[in-house]
Amino acid sequence: MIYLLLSILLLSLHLLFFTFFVDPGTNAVILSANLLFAFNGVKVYRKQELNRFILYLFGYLLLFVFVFILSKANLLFAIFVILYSAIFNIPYLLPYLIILIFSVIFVTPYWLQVFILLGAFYLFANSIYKKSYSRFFVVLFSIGFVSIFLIIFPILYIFLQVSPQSLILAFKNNEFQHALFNSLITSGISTLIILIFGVPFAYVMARKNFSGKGVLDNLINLPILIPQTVVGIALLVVLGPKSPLGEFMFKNCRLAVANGYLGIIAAQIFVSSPFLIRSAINAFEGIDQRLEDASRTLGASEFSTFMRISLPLAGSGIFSGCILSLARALSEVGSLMVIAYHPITAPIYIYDQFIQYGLSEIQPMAVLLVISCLWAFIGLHWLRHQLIKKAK
Amino acid sequence: MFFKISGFNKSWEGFSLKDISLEMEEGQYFSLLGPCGAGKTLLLNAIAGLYRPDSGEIFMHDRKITLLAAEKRSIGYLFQKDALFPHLSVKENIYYGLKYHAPDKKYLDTIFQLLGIADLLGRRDTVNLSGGEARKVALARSLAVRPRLLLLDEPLSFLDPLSRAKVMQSLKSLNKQIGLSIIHVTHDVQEIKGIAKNMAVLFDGAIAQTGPVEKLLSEPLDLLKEKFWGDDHV
Repeated sequence: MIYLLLSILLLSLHLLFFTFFVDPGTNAVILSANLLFAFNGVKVYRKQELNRFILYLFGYLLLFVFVFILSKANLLFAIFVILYSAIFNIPYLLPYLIILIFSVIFVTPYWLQVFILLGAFYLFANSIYKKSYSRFFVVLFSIGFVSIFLIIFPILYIFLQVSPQSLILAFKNNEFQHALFNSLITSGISTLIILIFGVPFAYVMARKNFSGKGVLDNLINLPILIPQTVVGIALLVVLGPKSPLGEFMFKNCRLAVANGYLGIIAAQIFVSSPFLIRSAINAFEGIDQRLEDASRTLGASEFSTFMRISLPLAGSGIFSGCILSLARALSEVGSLMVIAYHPITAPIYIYDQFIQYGLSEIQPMAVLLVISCLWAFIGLHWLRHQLIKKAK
Repeated sequence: MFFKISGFNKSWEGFSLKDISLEMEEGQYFSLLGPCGAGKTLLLNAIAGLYRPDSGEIFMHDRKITLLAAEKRSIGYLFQKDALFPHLSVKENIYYGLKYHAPDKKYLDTIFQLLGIADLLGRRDTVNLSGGEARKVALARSLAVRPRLLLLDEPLSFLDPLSRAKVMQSLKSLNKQIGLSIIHVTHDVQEIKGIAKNMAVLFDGAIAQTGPVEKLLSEPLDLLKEKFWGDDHV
């Protein structure tokens, strides 16, 4: 009973203090928050753990200094006190509250994004520690998370800036739909072409040693090294309307490469092929050569062995390569600007709109493009899992 | 002559097999003994047709098979680590080669019975098989296509003593009951005692000695005494 009286005394002291600084409405909210705090404080004290009780009071003091005095956010202070009192006895939620308070006080404009990312970071780091008890790996993870932060933060920020209404509006835009359709179709075709020609090549690279193999191996990576605009220029020189090949194709097949679907596909193939071919080489190299030997001694020809052993076993890795390659083709801009600005593809459409109307116009479309791509990849990954399951 | 290698030479990644000549009769249990790194597996691969020799010939039933593709040689091969196909079930593994050879139900049943693996045929995964079970499934797979000659690369390695005894028993009965010709490669002389009739000792890429097993065991060369027999066996 004495403790109760004591807390009421403390509370009235606080009330006295708050009454001078805030308006009556806010004061009422803070009063209820403080009451909850005191009520919970008595419960903590009753448990006979003095350290915890001091910690509990100390937390309140920190809130008071940082939120109430330094940032002068009175209502926020009341909300935090209520959350703090409620969560203090739930140990696994407490860190998230601390992260929330930290992000609201110190990085106010970006508090939601920072809270989500830091919360996720804590979730992962905690899980790593709980499963291995290795501080070293937690430190490594913390360093590595900086890169994740840099990747996710801008995307998360733009996502949280856009309202659902503007997204729907952007999606109803016919031009955008058309551009998205163009992008998906062309990148799908490019990936298919690379698949057909890249996989046999990858199998040879993985299985046989021959002179000049090292040079070829480096040539595969060439498209990653060359700036995208240079890729566009090179393709334009070879396939453009004034080049012999471009002229021939236009005269005899009525096919325009520059500013046509063929040009888009050519550029996409050029930039995205390394990803599929490299993945396929790695997948084939991962197969034990003995399995193929065993197949041969059982009567299977080299072709049969490839179809029944190598291809099924490398399938999952090749499929991953397809996803990477498709992603690269979808996101290509630089070379398309040079060789095929039209028919317009989604990334170019977004750039075009940005130049014409500015940043705020284009945000919903950018988000929509990210969402469509994400869905495509989630779908493909799901499909891959189903295929692996089926194979087993 | 059922099987014959003459004047066989092959260099491969800094190692070479030099002037190998071997002969064996049909239905024989032949053993190739040699320390690790003597070139035993390389020689087996060449016999199976997985690569071509630099020079020399391989004959089977007096027919030259040196340039014949592996899948046309009808030579079975039990690989050191079984090499079961991980994406196929036990049954699919065993029946793999029967797409290219006419299946013989009665023969298969005999094999399953001899190896005692009839109850494994329903297993979906090969990864959960024990060492001995996996070895027998691999053996059944290479036998299903009715090879004229079976190559065994360290068939008892990586097995616990009980499984070793069982696999050894199976090999013995395969040779005795269906008259299978076998080349058994090993580095352990204990494995082949009492089973193999003839043997050759491979040392540093060349045949050091060849003849009936009993004869070689009773009067070993100094080199071999040191390498395999140890002093207590003399």
